[in-house]
Amino acid sequence: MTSTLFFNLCGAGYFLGLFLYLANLAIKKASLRRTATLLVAVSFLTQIAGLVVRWHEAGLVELQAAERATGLTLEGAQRFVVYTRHPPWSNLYEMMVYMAWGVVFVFLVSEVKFRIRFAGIFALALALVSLGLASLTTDAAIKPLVPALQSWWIMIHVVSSAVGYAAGTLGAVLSLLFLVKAKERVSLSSVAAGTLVVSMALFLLLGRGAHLFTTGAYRVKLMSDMGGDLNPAGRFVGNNFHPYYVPSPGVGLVMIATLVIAAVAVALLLRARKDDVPQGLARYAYFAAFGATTATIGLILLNAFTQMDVQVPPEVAAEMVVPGPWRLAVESAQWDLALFGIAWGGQLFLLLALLFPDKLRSLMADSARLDRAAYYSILVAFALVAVVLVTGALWAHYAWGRYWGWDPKETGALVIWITYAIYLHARVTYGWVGVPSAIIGVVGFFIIIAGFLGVNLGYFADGLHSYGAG
Amino acid sequence: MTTHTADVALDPEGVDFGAAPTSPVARFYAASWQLFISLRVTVVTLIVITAACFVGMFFDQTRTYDEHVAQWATTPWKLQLFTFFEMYDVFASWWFGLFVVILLVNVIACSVERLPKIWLDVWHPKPQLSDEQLRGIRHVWRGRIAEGDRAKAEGLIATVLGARAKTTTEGDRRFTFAEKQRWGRFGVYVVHTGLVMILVGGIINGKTKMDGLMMITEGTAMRLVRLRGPGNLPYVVDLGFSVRCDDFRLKTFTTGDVMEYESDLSVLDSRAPVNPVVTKKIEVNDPLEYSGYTFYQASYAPVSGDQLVQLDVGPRGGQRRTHSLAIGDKLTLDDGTTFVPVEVIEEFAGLGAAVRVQETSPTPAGPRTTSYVVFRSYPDFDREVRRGKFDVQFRGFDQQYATGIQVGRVPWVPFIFAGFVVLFVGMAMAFLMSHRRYWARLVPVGDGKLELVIAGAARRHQYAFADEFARLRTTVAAAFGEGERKADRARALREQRRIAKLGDNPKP
Repeated sequence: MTSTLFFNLCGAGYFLGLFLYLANLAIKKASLRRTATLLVAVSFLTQIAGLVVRWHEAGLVELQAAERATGLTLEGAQRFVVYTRHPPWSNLYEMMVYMAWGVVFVFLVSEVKFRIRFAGIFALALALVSLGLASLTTDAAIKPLVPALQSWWIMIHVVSSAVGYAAGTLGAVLSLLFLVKAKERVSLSSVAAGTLVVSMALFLLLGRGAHLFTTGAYRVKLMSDMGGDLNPAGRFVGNNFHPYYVPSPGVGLVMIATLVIAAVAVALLLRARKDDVPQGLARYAYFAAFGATTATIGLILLNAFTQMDVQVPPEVAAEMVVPGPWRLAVESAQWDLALFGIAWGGQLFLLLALLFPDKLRSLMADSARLDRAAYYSILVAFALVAVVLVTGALWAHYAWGRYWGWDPKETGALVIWITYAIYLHARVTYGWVGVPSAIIGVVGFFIIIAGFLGVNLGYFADGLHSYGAG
Repeated sequence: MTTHTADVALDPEGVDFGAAPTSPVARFYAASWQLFISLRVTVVTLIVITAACFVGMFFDQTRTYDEHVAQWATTPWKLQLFTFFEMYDVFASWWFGLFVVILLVNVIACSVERLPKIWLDVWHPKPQLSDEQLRGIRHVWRGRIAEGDRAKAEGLIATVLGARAKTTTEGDRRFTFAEKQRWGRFGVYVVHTGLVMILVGGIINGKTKMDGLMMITEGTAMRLVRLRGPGNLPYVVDLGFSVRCDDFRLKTFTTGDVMEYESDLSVLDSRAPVNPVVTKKIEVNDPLEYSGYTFYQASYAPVSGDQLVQLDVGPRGGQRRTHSLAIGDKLTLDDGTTFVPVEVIEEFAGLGAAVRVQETSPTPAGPRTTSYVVFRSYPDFDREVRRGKFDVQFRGFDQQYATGIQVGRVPWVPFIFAGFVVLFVGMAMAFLMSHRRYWARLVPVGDGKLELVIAGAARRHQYAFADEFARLRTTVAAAFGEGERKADRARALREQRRIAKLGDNPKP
């Protein structure tokens, strides 16, 4: 498909842009930065072109399907409605591409308005993670839209969710930058401890909590390898596909070790929270925790490329809907890897901050500007998530007969909105400006992940928004 | 509460709590009120609601109590905990309801507490800039000018403060005051009003709404709705009238995926003089409404039972209509001709599936019955070969379906949707508007000199306002120079304090 070519081009552009922004940290030339921003802007336009092309492609698919089903040749307004009703954000692949679009869009706006160094690095890295996840998704093909999505509400509902969540993500990035920069308010030791706590929470969540400790195993999806064509292995229970999970060898134990090391590091860092930059044991404990996180991710990836032939018990093999040979692959744990990768990125940033605190801080905008940019990002996110909730309610009322049904994804969006409501109230009325609001801002990102991807990650029941699973 | 230097001076007198309440009851009331207007309660409530949302996302709320118990409540204490917190139905649980009500009371109490102050400040501003007020204002131009420049200064004030500025004089002291977008101050309260409307509507709906399902087989009528009660256990309710499904149509893509589906519904009400009262074709985004209930096309299910045969029948060479008939069912046309599919022949002499049809037509000599075969693969066979009075085509087999109708009655929906509108209007007011005030003061200070003070303050978008005032200052500086250095020094001090406090922190 032509649209995929556009998306690949824009992914390459974002990658190069990320590289240029990184180079800009060492070579502080305004021209370099301008070039990087220009490149990102051009890639962004390429992505828009890709989305338009995909809309056209989807339109042709819709027309063909509708004409085949009805046996009629559509014309005029009817043809236009069918042709345009399938916007390029209706399945998981498209959503991940579209989220990348949202993040870069919000970043470009912030670049014009605030010019925050580092924001580009984080935004592009996250956009690339999103595009990477999209390329690993199995259902990139355009299928005719299911009846529930054939509504004009999908346009405004999904557009505001992508831009709103992207604005929240940028707000989280800026809040993290603020926490690192605001030396006079919070020590790097505390921020490093906080980063490790968030990573630990992720490890526990993705390691299925207590199961990690009781079974000592970290389980990933088993993939069926049919001549290079990877599909999740599993069985059907009624109409529902249940993927089959196997322990990724050794990862469980490394994760437990990482959690223990991180817990020790957090304790030591908190004891040294009075020092801006932790020295001695606390410092080395952080390095060790970072190393252990790296080892976990490395081992998951290593298994993905080396576990080419996984044996399953015969009674399980008999039920499996796709044939062997079975193996592990990156797709076995793509969402987990993305989240671990994000946590790792945060840890790496803190590692650099611990190693070169003054250099890194001197490169950042002053803390007041970071705080202000984060505040405006989250204000935009708050307003747009309100749009998402309200348009969702209206759509649900007309399509399903109830405006609110506590469906997991609805609830997720509500939680994000409440989080930002807390942020705004804490800030505006409590006067929790600075560190406390920045912490809420960072936490907001993880709530977005939980709310937006919770269903797809399989932690929450898949309610009515399950079209995007895959 | 933030004590923003710029805002303190703008606010009218602080709240006068009066003498401390003496009696225990009064003290209790005062303490409760203080609790309910505290933002700590708001934040704690919001955190509890967030936690509830996560619990509700984690425990699939569409399953029944028994299913949950089987999965989660593996030990007695877990069962007790699970049942006590009603985790199978979190959003209808006592504790969730409690916190929603607390939130509601808190939002109302905070507004009742704060609104009168803001109201006074917005509608009864003090147009005369006092020295005390001036101390708290960040953006100030202050300088001395010659008495002879009075007219020039008044002209300048009129230019920079705009035509709508109000001027008052006290003796030879001249005060001018102007403001913009004062409605922006009420944005937060409008947002809260919208939120209260949504919450109140939601609570009432939660108690009175109906959200059930009817599976109506094609051709039959139904008056009972199946609902999910506490613990997701099913029960039925009588509507008081019947809904009949006249036809259900399912369109699929060639891949077999569903494209769309629709039902023809009729409402049969014994209280109505004419039946059916209403007939409507409903589809996924287009429901039927009757007597306060809304009937949405939600799902469908195939019904097991006799296979139906679809016959297209019409006058020779004319428009044919599709009829679904069971074997032995009689189709009667307007002129009295009847058609009965007698048998299905899976394979007829190498020509594929076929149906034997018995046609009886009235003739002057009495009814005449014929019997013939029509083929699925050869739609024009009957017209071209048999050449009878009517064309009959065997279209295929018809799977009988039951249409899944979601029955909803949410009486307060218009109220809630009005709440959405109010919410957005409020958000636009709160986020886009910024109440800005400008003062000018012209006071003689002796020695033939006048002191000119021009000051400005904004509630929101402090940085944008700083730019705006900088432009204003340039205009003033062009006429009267840079002004007093003392003011500059004070401003620099305030700027430092502001950076330390991280400025952009408007109060509601």
